[in-house]
Amino acid sequence: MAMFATISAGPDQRCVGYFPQACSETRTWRASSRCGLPLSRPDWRDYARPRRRGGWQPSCFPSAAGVAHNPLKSWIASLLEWRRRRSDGPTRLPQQVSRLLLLFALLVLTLIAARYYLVPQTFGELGHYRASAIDDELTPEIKYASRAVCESCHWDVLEVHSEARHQSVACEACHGPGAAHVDAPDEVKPFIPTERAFCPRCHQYDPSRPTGFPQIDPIAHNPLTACVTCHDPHAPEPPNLPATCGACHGEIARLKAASHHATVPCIQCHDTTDEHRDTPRTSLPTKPTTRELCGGCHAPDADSSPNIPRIQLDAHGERYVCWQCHYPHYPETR
Amino acid sequence: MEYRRDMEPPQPDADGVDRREFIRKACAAGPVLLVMAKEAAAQPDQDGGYDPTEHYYGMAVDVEKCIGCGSCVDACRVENDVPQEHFRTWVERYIIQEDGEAVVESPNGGASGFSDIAAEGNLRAFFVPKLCNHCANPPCVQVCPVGATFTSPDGVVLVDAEYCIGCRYCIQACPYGARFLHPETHVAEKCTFCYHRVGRGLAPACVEVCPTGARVFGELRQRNSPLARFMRFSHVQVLKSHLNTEPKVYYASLDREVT
Repeated sequence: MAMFATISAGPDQRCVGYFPQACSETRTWRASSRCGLPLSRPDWRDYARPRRRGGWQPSCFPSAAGVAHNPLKSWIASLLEWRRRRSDGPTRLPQQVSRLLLLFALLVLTLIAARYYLVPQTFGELGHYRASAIDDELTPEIKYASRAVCESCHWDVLEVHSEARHQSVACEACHGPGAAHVDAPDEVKPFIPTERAFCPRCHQYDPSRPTGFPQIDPIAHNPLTACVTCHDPHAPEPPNLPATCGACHGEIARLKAASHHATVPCIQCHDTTDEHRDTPRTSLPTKPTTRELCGGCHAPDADSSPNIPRIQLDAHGERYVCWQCHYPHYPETR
Repeated sequence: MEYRRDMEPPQPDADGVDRREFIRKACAAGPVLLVMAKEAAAQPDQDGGYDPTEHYYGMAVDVEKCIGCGSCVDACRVENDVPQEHFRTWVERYIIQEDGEAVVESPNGGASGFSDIAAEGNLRAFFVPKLCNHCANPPCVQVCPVGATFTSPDGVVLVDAEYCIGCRYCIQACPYGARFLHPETHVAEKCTFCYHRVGRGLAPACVEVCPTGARVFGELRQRNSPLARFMRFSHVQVLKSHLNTEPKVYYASLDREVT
């Protein structure tokens, strides 16, 4: 069936609904659907286009023709018209409307039921997630008991360990997870590392490790002897404190030895306390903060060898300390 | 209603408590009740009584202290039953070469040590422990189609293993590569800051075993926590700050080559 048709509204053809009654000239509008309800509200093109001189006349419009045009009234009228034409029985909703309503109600009910059964109860309580998942994450048993639990029984070790160089190393870092030992102290014994391969995990020499960290070469360092024969792992003592800066800062020492600053001792620029040899991180050496320190040798009036390059301190790179531009451990030659 | 003088004085009700007397007693009891409530709140979290809204966690890593021993990687594997060949935390070694190239390696996550590096041609080398950054603005949470990964009120990004459908969107979205698909359960997995330990008042396993104290864990919003103290005293950075993920894992003494 053609949805659009050009029909002539003659006197035998009744215009129902929105369609203007007054103009009876030839016009184009949308054919009504099978049920008789208008498919859509007519727009200005559905009105008669007067072709005679004078343009739009009041008689073109239904309201002007004596009938007050009320869209709602005419829509209801078209429904009543449809009913009158369609059935002689009692008033019913159009079948397609009632079926559509039923389908819609079924869909809504299914959605509500699906939400009720599929969405967890706690979903959305704290956010767009299942709030009880937080409790699920809390349920697994711990494997590492934490050092506070170890220390509550092994206070004798704690006394030694808490003062020693290994004080930052937790018990379970070497002895492995201890929660099982806490639950059954006699049945489960923690791991006691005695073999030589264990300590190099931290103390094998690796240039990537931070300077100052005690490291050995496991091949050259007392081969075949277990570490624990000489070192108490709870309170290790270094055999001797480093005598020179280069013992720890070898990279800088090698570089400086090949540079023009080879004869300048480290402490000329870095104020270093004696404690730095023992606990390097708790008392750090200083770095030069003034330009005058370099000026002591490199200023034009400095009392130093004439071979040393001179620089006008007040005209050269003000605002900066010298080592911010020049690397003092390997200064440029030009 | 206004109380007028010519009205009957208020009578004690059935329990024999005058209204005025009740108000007087209630006012006296108020501070006592408040103190008791505060005492109760100050009790350490018991098992099951953990309240995530009272905490906000973060972690700091001091790169200068990491010796690359891999204890954290092992401890994490034991504590969380991490499957082989997957890592919730791992240690990377950066080798900066003389030509400026940065070589990054992490054999077995750093758990079984690192190979020797060549003496020639390298400027410097250092270790960087990595883990989930627990972003405040996490891309993984944004892309999850079912709401299975989320940020809990204490700032920890978690995965709901029962709700995850294993679509791997989050694994793709994470700019830090911190997630993986569990080969047996087929759900996304990641670092949880050892949530089951944290809920019991313990530190995460990696923090517990770190021999040099390179990892610091604690409350971000409490000024007296070790973490807040560490962050005040160090110059900290985050990884891939340009992505605006707002990570809550902070790195001190970080080389600019590290991403």
